[in-house]
Amino acid sequence: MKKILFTSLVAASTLFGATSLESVLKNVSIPDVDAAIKDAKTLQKDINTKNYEELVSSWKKVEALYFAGDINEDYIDTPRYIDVFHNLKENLSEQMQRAIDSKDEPKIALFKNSFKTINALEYVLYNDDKITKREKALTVEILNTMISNLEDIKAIYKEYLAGEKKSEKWENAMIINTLIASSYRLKEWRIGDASGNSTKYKNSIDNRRAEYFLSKNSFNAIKAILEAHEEVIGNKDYYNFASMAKEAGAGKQVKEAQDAILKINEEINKLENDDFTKAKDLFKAAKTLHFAYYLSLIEELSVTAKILDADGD
Amino acid sequence: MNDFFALEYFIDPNKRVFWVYIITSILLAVVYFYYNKKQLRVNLSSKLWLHPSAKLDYYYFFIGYFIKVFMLFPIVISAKTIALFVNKQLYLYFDYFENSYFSYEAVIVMYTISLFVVSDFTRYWLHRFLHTIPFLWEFHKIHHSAKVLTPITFYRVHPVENLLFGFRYSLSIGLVTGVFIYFFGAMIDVYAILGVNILIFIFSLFGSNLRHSHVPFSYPAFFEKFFISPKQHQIHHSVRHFDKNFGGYLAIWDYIFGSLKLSKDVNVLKFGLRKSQMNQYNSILKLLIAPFKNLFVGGKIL
Repeated sequence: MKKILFTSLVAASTLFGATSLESVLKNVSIPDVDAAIKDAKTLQKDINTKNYEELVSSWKKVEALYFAGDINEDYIDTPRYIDVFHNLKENLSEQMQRAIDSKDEPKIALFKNSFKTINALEYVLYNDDKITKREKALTVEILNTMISNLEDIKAIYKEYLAGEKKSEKWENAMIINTLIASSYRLKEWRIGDASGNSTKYKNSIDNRRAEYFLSKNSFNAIKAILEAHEEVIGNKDYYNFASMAKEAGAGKQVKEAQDAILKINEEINKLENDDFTKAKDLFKAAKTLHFAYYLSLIEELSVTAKILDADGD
Repeated sequence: MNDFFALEYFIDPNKRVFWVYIITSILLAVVYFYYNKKQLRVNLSSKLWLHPSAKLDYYYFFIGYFIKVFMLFPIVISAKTIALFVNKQLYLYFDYFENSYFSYEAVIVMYTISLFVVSDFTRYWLHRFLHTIPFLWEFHKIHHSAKVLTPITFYRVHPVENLLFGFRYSLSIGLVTGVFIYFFGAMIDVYAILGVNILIFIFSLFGSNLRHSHVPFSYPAFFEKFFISPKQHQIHHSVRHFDKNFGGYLAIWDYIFGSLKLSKDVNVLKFGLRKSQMNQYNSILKLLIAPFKNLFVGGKIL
């Protein structure tokens, strides 16, 4: 009867020398941030919709597995400096149109944080069929800010790998919490709101609520998020959360999550042109993934918060 | 086999009689007797440590251990089961909640305190019910039948009472944990020393083993309104004050619910039950069957 206080998923990873977080940071997070920085720079040099699409995809991977805010609380808001989807009450399109029409220097015209996000960039590039000289100048400026924020994220990950580590229990808890939060946003915000399946917009379908309605990159974004999840919960060559969870006896739960990711991909491939009007099954599949993380995988946490003798007095 | 050995209680920080807690209690007793020689002779006397009641406690400690391990633990529903049930119900009823208000450190502080306070609160009420509900009192009498108090008297508890405390533990810890998992997901933890909630560890260091002893160590009256001193628990064991000081570590529950008795208000302590009842509790077998005998044969139920 070994008394272990609130032990989370077993720390079997020590056999491999690195914890699942360390391995994920090294093999997934840093390469993903690097890819996003590279894509942002490519877009700066060659402003076109194809390159924007690449940036959306690489940024979504970084956002889906954002650990920097937990590693260093000073960076908890960094994703919101890059992406304001679902976090902005103002009408960004109207404001960005004013920035485009303004004759101020790009730096001055883009005076708000929300004006320097990937959502603002979408409006700049997709508000009409042409990309004007002014829009290109704004694009370069927006991307400068995005790159700077991405560099910060990369620095946090590198610092963590080089510096003092937190407990493996904390690391694993943070990964599962990140997956849970990301899968919830996928289900509710990115699929449910547009398809009329979310709690907020029950039975009210409206494609305009999709994350990248203007650029028709919403499905692209969802696929990128799933790829990111696959990188930590899928069967990979490197040691990841799935490897650790399976060693801890949660193989069934990992399989459940993997199957749900496959199902979402399957459902999204049945749909076309970012149309969420028939996305009920896609929503259901996303819900299954969220449940798999939240209700199944979290159950594997060993909850034995010992108090002291249940003996009386 | 090592896992089923009663002496592990002395090396397990989760147990009241963990050797470190015993040593700190002895040290406190030494300090106490340095200033107050009044009870020293009694405490050093073999008449206390080898009293038939004390010897019965020692034997019962071993028997009780096996009863718990083999008969009770398999029955008691785990705190984890309760926690996951509570979490699931909250999730299904209120939908997902994402914490963005509290840091990890703040969550640990809140969880550590919540576990301690809720557990102490439920412990107070179960203990009070054991005294006030006649059916339960028959089982709790086993504990109060101790004529002398030693740290091992803590384990002089009927299996039915163990079972109730087991359920109390699972329900209270499970409830708190379920709520915390709902609000904070997997990122919850407890500040602990040697795997024990830090608050429990600190309280255990400060004389928890003197509660069942003849060392009348008390706190200043002001503190005794917040924390139960060893003397206050001894008062609870004295025949005239069974209805006072039900608290575990905190005295606030007794203070709030009107059952607090301060050390300064009681001078004479007489432990055990009424003389006429004592012969019902002088062997292991009698300790185990007396409640049933009293309830079913004694006419309380039949």
